Amino acid sequence: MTAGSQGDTRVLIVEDSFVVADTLRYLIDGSGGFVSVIVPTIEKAFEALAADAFDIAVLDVNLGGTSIVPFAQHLHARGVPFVFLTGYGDDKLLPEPLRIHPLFTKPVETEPLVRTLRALTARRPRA
Amino acid sequence: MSRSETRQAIERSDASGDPIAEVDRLLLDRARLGLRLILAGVAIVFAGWIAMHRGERPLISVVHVLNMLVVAGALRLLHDPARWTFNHVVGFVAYAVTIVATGVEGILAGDATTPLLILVGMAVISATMVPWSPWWQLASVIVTITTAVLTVATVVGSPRLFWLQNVGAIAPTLVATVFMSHALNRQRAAVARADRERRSREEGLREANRKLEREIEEHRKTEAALRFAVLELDHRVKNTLAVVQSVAEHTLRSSVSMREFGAAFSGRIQALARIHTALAGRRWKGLPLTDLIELVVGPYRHHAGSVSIDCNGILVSSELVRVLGMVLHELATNAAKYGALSNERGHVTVSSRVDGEGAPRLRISWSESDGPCVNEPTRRGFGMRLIEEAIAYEVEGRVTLLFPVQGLHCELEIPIPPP
Repeated sequence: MTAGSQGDTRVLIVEDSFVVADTLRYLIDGSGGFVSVIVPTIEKAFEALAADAFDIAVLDVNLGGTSIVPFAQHLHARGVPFVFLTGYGDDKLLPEPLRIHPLFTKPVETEPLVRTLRALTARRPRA
Repeated sequence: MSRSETRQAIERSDASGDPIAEVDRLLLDRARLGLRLILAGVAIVFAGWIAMHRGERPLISVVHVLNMLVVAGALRLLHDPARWTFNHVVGFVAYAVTIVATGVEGILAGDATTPLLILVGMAVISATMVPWSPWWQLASVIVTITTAVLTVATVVGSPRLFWLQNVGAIAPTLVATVFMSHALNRQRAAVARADRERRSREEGLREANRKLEREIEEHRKTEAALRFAVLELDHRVKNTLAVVQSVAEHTLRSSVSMREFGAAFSGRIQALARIHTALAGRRWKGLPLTDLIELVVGPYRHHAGSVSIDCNGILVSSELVRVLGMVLHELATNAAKYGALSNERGHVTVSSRVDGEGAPRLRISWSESDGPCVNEPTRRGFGMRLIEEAIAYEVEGRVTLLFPVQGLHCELEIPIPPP
């Protein structure tokens, strides 16, 4: 694993379980070209977004009983691409406009997740 | 029948009104019609009498007028269908007065014509007062007319038996009136009984309907709770699998050999399983800290004295148990591999306390002694990172990890959220 360099895509991972978040960070960063920040709550997610710019986000739908939807709507409105992670295996909890975003079911397969992250960020000019 | 259909049926039967009131109204109408016919009959006879016998026997005119006054007064009194007994008495009195008056007129006039006319009129009237059975009406008419004809025939044959005419005019009509009144009362009682039964059946139906609605509501609630439980279970299983996947990734990354991976991985999964079992056993209502430590550290004991726990009755919430359990498990495996639990002499002391009035904090102290000499590790593996970062990440606590030469020392400081 290499430390983030200037050209790396910045990823914000919002996931309440440390073990899962840390693994996601390790897997995503380890695939090369990404540098991730992990946060456990929606409040911390907003704080992180205020402090730094991110190219893409990975969002756990349910943060220990709190819904990610307000943060997802914020990103959606600002045009920041993101993907959802869910333990439920469906997107019934998400409002209609947010369902256009990719959804991955836990446990996540690294390969398709990373491929999607690359595809979503390749189309965007770097901020 | 569905619930809504049942309810509609009940509402329909309610809307059809009160059958007793229906009967009373009908009876009143018949009684008023009867009295009007009597009045008309008496008036016609009176007019005929005046025309044919002007100035003769003025007493007959007085009886006629009195009779008409009584019937007209009765008509005024009969207006409220609910006053069943009163209406009955008034109708009966008017009826009886007319019959008596007819008899008196017959006696005073000394001829059979007037009573005969009135008798036939009364037969029609009595028939109209019985609204229930057409057979009753027919029988009443036939009996009264036959009696009258027989009486008149008797009197015509023998003028001296004139008094029989009056008896014949009064008696059958009076008897018929009593019978009719009795029949009407029986009919009314039957209707009242039927109505009571209908109401009681309806109430039973309504009660059954309410019970059914309650049961359906309960069923709906149970179903919703069950659906929620299944969703929640699905959520937890998927999350647990995600944790297992992560633990596998990390263990794989930090293991040198498959043997090491196997031991570390199975140890971590077993710790998770033991914590889950204990939590489920207490219905997810938290776990005493002593039990949690015993669960995760217990398997790494060499003997009873290897680990001493001093955590007087502190209860850990089920949210905190998962992350704290994993951290304690990593401390235990680390001690078993490199620290105080790697030999027979080593000793781990775990103690805890809660302090801070406004914002209470749980402080857990993990202290190793008498094990091999300790050096601060140069490289932080997954276990170490978990110990140092997980609590800060998930519950905003603080972890201090020290490596004095006599044994590792770890201080966990966890804010306790208000209940």
